[in-house]
This record gives sequence, C-alpha cells and structure tokens, in this order.
Amino acid sequence: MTAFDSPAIDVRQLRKTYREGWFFRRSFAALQGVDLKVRRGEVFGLLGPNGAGKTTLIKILLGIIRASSGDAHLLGQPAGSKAARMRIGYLPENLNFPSHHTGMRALHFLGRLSNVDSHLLRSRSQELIELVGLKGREQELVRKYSKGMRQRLGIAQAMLHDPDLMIMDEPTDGLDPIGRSQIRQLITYLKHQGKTVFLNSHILQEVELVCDRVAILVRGNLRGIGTPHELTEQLHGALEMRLMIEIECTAEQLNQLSTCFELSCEPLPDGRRKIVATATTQSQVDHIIDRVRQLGISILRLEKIRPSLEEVFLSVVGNAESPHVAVDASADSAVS
Amino acid sequence: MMRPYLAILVDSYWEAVGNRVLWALLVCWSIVIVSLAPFGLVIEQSFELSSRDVQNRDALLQKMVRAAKGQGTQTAKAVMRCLPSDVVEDLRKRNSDSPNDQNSRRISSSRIATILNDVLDQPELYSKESFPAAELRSNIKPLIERPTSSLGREELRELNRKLLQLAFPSELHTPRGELIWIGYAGLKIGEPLGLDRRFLREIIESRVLTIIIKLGLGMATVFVAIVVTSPMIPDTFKSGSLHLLLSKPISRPLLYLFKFFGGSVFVLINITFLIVGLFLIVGWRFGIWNPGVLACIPLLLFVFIIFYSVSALVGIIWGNSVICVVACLVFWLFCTVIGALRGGFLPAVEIAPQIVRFHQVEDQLLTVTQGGSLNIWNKQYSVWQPAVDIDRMHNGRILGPIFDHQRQQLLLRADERAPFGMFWAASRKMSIVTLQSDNEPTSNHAAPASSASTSSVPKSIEEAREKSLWLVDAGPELPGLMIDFLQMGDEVVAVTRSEIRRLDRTKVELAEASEKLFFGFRPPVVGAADPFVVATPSDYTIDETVSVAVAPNGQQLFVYHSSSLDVLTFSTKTKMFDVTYKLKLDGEGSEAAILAANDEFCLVARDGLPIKVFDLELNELHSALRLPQEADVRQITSIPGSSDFSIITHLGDWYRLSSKTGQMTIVSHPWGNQCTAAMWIDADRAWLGVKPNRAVLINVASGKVEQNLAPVPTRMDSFYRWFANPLYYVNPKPAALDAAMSYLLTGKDTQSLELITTDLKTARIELEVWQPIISNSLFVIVMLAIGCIYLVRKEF
Repeated sequence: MTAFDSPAIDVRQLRKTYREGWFFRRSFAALQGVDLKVRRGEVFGLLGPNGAGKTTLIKILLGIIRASSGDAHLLGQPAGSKAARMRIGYLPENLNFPSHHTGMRALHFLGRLSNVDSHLLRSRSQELIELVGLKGREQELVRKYSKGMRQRLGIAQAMLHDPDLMIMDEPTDGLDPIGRSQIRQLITYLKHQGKTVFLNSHILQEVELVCDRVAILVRGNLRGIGTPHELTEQLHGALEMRLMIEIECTAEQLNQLSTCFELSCEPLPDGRRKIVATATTQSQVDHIIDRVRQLGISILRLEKIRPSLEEVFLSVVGNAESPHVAVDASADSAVS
Repeated sequence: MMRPYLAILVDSYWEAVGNRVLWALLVCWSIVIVSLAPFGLVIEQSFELSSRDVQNRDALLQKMVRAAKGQGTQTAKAVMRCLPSDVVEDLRKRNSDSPNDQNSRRISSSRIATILNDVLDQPELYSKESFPAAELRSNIKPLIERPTSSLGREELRELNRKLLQLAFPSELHTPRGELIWIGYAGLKIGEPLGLDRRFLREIIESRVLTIIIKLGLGMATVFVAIVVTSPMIPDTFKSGSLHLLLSKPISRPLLYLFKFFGGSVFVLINITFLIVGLFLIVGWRFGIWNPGVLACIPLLLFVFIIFYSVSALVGIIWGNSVICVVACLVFWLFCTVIGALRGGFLPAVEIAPQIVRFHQVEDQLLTVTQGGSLNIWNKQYSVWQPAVDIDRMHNGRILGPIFDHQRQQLLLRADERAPFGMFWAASRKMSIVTLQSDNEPTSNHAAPASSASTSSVPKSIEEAREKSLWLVDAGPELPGLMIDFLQMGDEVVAVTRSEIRRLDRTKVELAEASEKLFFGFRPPVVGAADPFVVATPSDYTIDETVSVAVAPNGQQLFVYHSSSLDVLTFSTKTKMFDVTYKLKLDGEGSEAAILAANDEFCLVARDGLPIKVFDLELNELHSALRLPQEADVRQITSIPGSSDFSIITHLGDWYRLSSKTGQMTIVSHPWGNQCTAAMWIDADRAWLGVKPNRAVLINVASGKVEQNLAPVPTRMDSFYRWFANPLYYVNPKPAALDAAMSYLLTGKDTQSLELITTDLKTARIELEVWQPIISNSLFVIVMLAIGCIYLVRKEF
C-alpha cells in the first residue's frame, strides 16, 4: 500500500494509560486497544461522552502525547511525526490565540509555523479570511472576537497550508445555532474540496448531519463504527422499531387503549395526543391500528420511527455505564 | 528550515511590544534620561579658593594668627598686609596655638577661603623681599617678570594664588587653575569639587557609572523586564494555545528556546534605549565618551537571561507567571546571600592578611600586611603573631617599620582606616618598639624577647594569633599628611604631601622611665616640639600625589610628582636635601606611582602608563616598557648584587627586569600568580609573599624552596575556603558580572579598594571577568536544557 492509498487515519490496538503521582502512582486506562480506520475524503465523527478518550486519541494522532502501545498512522506516516504534522490541519478544543494577535497576524504566524511560503501565505490568508466570513474584521485583535469568530479563524488557520486531513476537536462547542450552522457549512466545503475531516464531538445532531461515518468511543473502547444508518442497524437489537400515532381521544378511550398494548402517551395542544408503541412486526402494527380504530379513535398522523443516532448513542453509553463493563471508574477524571 | 522558529522569535518580540508595560517603561526611562541630561560639569578657569582647597585648616589658621601678630614667615606676613584690617585684628586677638578655641568665633575652612580670596585681587601682594623664592619657580617667574600693572585680572589672580601657595605650602592644596562643579542645566550645585579631571573621570567611570548601571539599570530594568516577560512562557504553554503550536511541524525544544530568546529581544530594546541614553549624557555632559558603557548592553542582557532562564523553567513547569516572578526573587535572594557571605569574608581572609612588605630586623623576619599588621612568625604554633600591640581590626596601614640599630628600636606609624577605605584616621604619634639587645632571640623563627615584650609565651594557637609580642611606646608627634616613612642611611625621613622632613634626634627626648607606670597607665613618651624638621629647600615644594624611593646608597632620594622625577641628594653636613636634577615625564602628573632605584637606574611605574627606566649616570630616559597583560605594578624592588629589578604585579605575577637590556623574565616558582611581595636577600634568593599570607624563602636560581611559612588556617579561613568560597563558585552569580562591568568601564582587570587610586601598592581585588560569565553561561545552559528535556518528556 502506498502513502496515497493508505487510510487517512489508521489506528491499531492503540492503548494509553496515564500515570499520576510521584510515589503511589495511580494508573488510568484512557484507551484500551482502539482499532480505527478513516478513509480519505470522508467526514468522520468520533462520538463519546466526556472522559471517553476522544481527546486522548486526537493527542496521540498529533504527537502531543505518546501511546502506551499500539500503532497509529496518519496519511501513511507515523502519528506525531513531522511529516504527518505537515499534512494535518488541527482545530483544538478551547482554542486560544495570543492576546496580541490580530486575526491576520495570527494567520501569518501560524502559517509560518506550518512552513508556508510568505508570498503564498499572504494570498491564502486573504482567501481564507473571506471564506470563513471574517472579511473586514481581520485587523481586529482576536481577544475582541466572539467565540464563533475565533472558531472560524481556527478553521482558517487549520486550512492555511492546505492540509489533507483536518482534525477538529469539538468544533461547535459553545456556539450558538448560527455559529454551528456556519461551522457545518465549512465542514461541508472541506468535504467538497476532497479533504478528510476527523471530527470529535459530543453534539450528536451535528455529527449526524455532516458525518459520512461515525465511531462511538466509550471509556477507551470503540463500541461501534459505520454510517449513522449502519450504526442503527448494528445496534437494532437494542433499539426496536416504534410506531408514533397522533390521535384525538378522551381519557376513557386512552385507558381502554392502554389495556390492549404497551404505549407511552404525550399530550399535544388542541386536545390531541401522541402515543408511541413498540411494533417489531407488521402484524403487530396492524393489530395496534385495528384496536385504535375499534375504539372509534381518529388517527390524525401515523409514523414509523427509526432510532436516532442520539438514541443509539445513549443506548450504547447506557450499556457501558452498567456495572459489567470492566473499565476503571476513576478514568473519567483523567480522560477529557 | 528555520523559518518557523524565526516566526516565533519575531512573534515573541511583538508580544512584548504589545505589552503596555513596555511603553510605560520606555516613557519612564525617557523621563529619567531627560531629567538626567542637564547634569554636567561646570568648569571655570579660576584660581579662586574654595573650602576644599584648605588642606589643613588648623595649621593654616595658626600660621595666619602668628603672621598677624608679626611672627612667622615673610610670605605669611605679606599676605596679612593685604588682608582687611578688621580681619587681621580678629586674627591678632586669637590664641596662636588654638585659634579656634572657645573664646573666639570659630573660623571655618569656607571662611578662610573667602578671606584669602580677597587677597587674589591685590596687586601689592608680591614683593621681591617677601617672596624671594618666587623667582626660582618656573610657573611664577614669567608673571613676576612683568610689571604688576601690565597683568590682566586673571593673570594677577593666578600670580597671587601661586604666591599664597608659597606662603602656605602644606596648608593649601596646589592650585589647579580651574574649578569644577557638578552642574544642572549650567547651574552650579554646591561647592566646587576638590578633584581634578583625571580623578573625576576615575570616580565617574569606576563608581558612579557602575552604580547607575548596576543598581539603576541592572536591578530595576532586569526585574521590571522579568515581571513583563514572565507571562510569556506560561501563556504559550497554556493548553488552548499549546496544543495548536504542538500540532505544527516544529520541535518542542526549539519552540521553547526561540520563545525564550524572543522575550530577551524585548529586554534588549529597553536596555539599549537606556544605555545609549546614558552613554550620550555622560559623553555630552561630562566629556567621557567611554565605549565600555555601550559594551554593558550585552552584559545587562545576559543578567536578564540568567534570571529569565529561571523564570522560564518555572513557567513551563507550573504555568503561572506569579510563581515565575516569585521564583526569580527567591533565586536573586539566594545568590545575593551567597555573594554577600563570600564578600563579607573576602577582605578579612583574602586581602587583609596579604604580605605587602618584608623587613629583616637583625635576624628576624617581620612582615607588614595589607590590613596594617606587623607580624612575626611563631614557629611553635606555625602562625603569624602580631609583633606590636596595634589593633586595627584588619583595616589599617603601617608606614615603616624602620629599624634603628643604634637604639635597637623599631619606628613606625600605624593608621586606622575608615570603612570605605578613603580616609585615614592618622595617628599623631610615632610608634616606637624598643628591642633589648642582650636578650635577642637566637633563631630566626623563635619567639623573640625584648624588654618591651609581653612576659608570657602564648599558651595556645589562638593566643599566639592575637597576643602581640612587643608593646609600643608613643613617640614624638608625626608631621601631618604623611605618605611615607623611609630610612636613608642613619636618617629617618618622613615624606608629606608638601615637603620632606627629617627626624632630628637631638630634639627627641625619649622618656627614660617608659616602663614606669603612672597610676597604672603607661605615660606617653614626650618628645621635643616638632622633631621632624623640613629637609627640603624652602623653594622646593612637592605636589599632593607624590611617590618616593631611596637609592641603595642611602644618599639619594627620588621623588615623583607632577610628571617630574626629582633626584634629591642628602647632605650629611647641612642635613638638608639638594635638588640634583629634575626629569620631566609625560602624563597628567596626578597618577599614582611607584619608584625604585639602584645605583644605575631608577624605575618609575605609574598607574596606566608604561614603566620608565631612567639612566642615573646619563640623567636621561633609558627605556620604556609595558608589562604583559597591561598589568599594573604592585611592587618594585632592586635586586641586591645585580642591576636588575623585581616587579610584582596586581595580577600576582613576579618578573625580573634587566634594566640594562629591558628584558623581562617571569620568575619561576610554584605559586603561579599568587605573589604579593618580594624581598631579595641576594641576587638569587628572595622572600616571597604568597596569597593569602604565606611567606616562602626561595632560591630562584635553583627553584628550591628553602623555607615555607604557611600559617595554620583559622576557623574563619577554613569556613571561607571550604564552604563560603566553593559554594560561591558553584552557585550561579549574576551579581558577579559587576566585575565584568567594571572591567568594561575602566579597562582594568583589577579594582582598587579605594575610591581614587593614589597608592599603587595597595592590594586590589582581581576582577573575575570571565569566570562569572562562564559559570553563569553554564547555569543558563543547564536551565534551558532542563526546560527542553522537560518539554520533550511532558505529555500536555
């Protein structure tokens, strides 16, 4: 396999154990044998609760920390190597620019760190400032920027040297809906540019909206990987198909209905109600509809619900929280 | 390849420039420089007297009172005739012996100067009868050859001032012809300085500039700079910005190092701004264009880098700028305490015990130390025992001793010294130690006994170190402003700042019953009045800075003053000196000098100038030579049995100079550049003083050490040598860079302990110019290396 054919990210049996304290050293397993492949040109989302090991994985990929064992390659180069870092754009969590930087000076400084030629740097900076919507604000001090502006500037700096792989750690964290939308648009733009984007987030809707594939990391273990649809399929056993029926009925009718099958009810405005019932087979669907009609209840709306990524995620995380999962409980504090 | 790192350097610079504190500082520095700029020297060509010209107020007043009463010299009487009658009347009423007694209004030096200034404009002061010696003075003769009426006002004042000097030669300072004030925007501040330009320059360069740069700029700038730069490293290594930087294709150690040196660029700008300002002010206002000032820029930057290396290391470990500043302060305090500990011991352990002279008295070897002790070797305990009971706490001066064979007496003068080394608390009485000939010690190193010796033998080593061997009697009164005490054959000569006096023994009446106690106290020996009589001709005066040497024949005296080498011959018939001839030398004339002579040559070594060798037969300059490393001379002695001279430098080197060929060879011995003094016994053997207080008898021809008198160290010596000094050397020492600063400002690698160098023989501290630079550089390298290793290993 040549460097061009190699996956954007190739992680094999990656383990990381943190050790703390001078004398009675405690150890925390942050990653416990993670295997992961990210294909070139895709937008990949890494999901996981706080303390799952997402940032640890990114730090290892960037060479900020060393893995305890296992292998990690980026674009065919060993993770953390200078050659790999030359081709990565990184947007860190809680990005902080030096207070003396204006938007443009920050781009120039960080561009030079990426060894971008001065002439090219000037033109790229202008382009990117325009692309991220900071035109006219580039001479202002970054400390006066809003959080959304700083994130967009962060994306601009990550794109300065035209990297093949973008790694974004919580890119929409703390942003308002408009800011999130702008970031989503930028990610989409990158995808259209053919860049690989590795996204680390716990905002599931965002991931579901922009990611081609998703992995769920829980307590240092990878619990699932695939497209959002594939993930749902994979975890279908845990999340059964459900039927959502919007009806108009009396309380007495509702009581009678609840004796026929298990349901959950949610009142809606104008006397309407939304009931959700589990139906694994078509005959069960037919049975439920028959019973509703037999009681003379009008069906205003009927929908078969596929489990959302959030539900899949919560289901996976919920399982992981159960006592049988053999992960050191104290790892939470070490992994962020 | 270095582009990213240069970007870090430049960015660090802009980070510092963006700091408001920098601008506030620059404004402050500008205000300081602008407020300092009007300071300068106000120089007036003037012969007017100021209070500082009065050298000996009481003696001057006595002379004036006597003259007012019609007594004293013709010259003084002539001055009195020109004074207002009320002044003369006031003087006449006063007591001749104590004119400023309680019964009369006190006359200050300033008042005397004002009174005498009235004389300056009097055309009738000069008359041939009153000032017969004036015609012999080359500096007065051109003025008195012209009629007084043809002299301009300034010429008249010059003449009268020089006549006043003739009238009161040792009571007034020699006129310089100019008055110098410290001025501010052209306005004079206070009284004129009693210093000439050379001394002024020496003080400004060696002290004032050093203090300003060291304290004003060194400490203030460096600490403010550290406060400003301390957040730079912690801010860089904060998680939000650090992860971004570490994701870039750059090396962590280089990131750290370039960030570090980027912060230093900011300090460089500040320091450059200040030092260049100071350089321009000192050059423009004081006429001292010293490039050494500019050379202090990298030195101050280096001081900052030392502290910043500590701050930076703390910054990456703790990531808190407050802790960085506190760590710097703790580091500074630690270094200061260690430096002060060593500095406190240095004078007492390293400087004061240095042997500066050897004296062979009969078969006993006496040593005079830099601290002003006269010691004798105690063989029993192997220590230097005080020979006389003069306690000056290692801070004094001894002139002499002179051994009077006939009377078996040691004559000396012992002075105390003020804390800052500038002023001598002169003792008024000559110290006399009477040795008894019938109880002479038989061995060179046995404890000698004498009639004046203390009866008991020391019982312990401590007692041997402290208990003096002989008691001292107070002898006749010594002349004032005495600078040397010499033996010329059988004569004892005292050199003062204005003339040379001879001890007239016929006038000395030593109390026979000096052993008798009066109510338990030893009464002082009462001598006849003024036993030191002037031995130089009345028309011969010498200036303040004077050095003398005696020819081995004991008949000729060589005097260097005012760029003139005078050869004086002593007449045993008239008991007076005759000026045989004078040789004019280059130089300003106020330089401190050391003279030495043998039968053929006379050497004149002056501060900062080449050694001049004069041929005494031809009365002309024979050669001029410089010592290796431009070292200053500390001691020159003639070597008996040869025409060679022995030279010891302030760097501690020992040379033998062939005066005929001018060839200088280093004398081979095992102690390297640790020499302090030498006394040659013959052409091959010499006693050598080795730092700090060892004396060795060495045969330089064979290289054999015949005797080695190394005293047992005291507890203080041991503490200093085995703890304080090693700790000081191991410890980083930013403050020790002062030595390098002094070297840059003065160009000398030794520093006098005195404010002004008037005596080349005084021990100097060898400036450790390179050692602190090397040790501090190593410290910075270690600190940066630890920082780099920490960063490489650290998982952020």
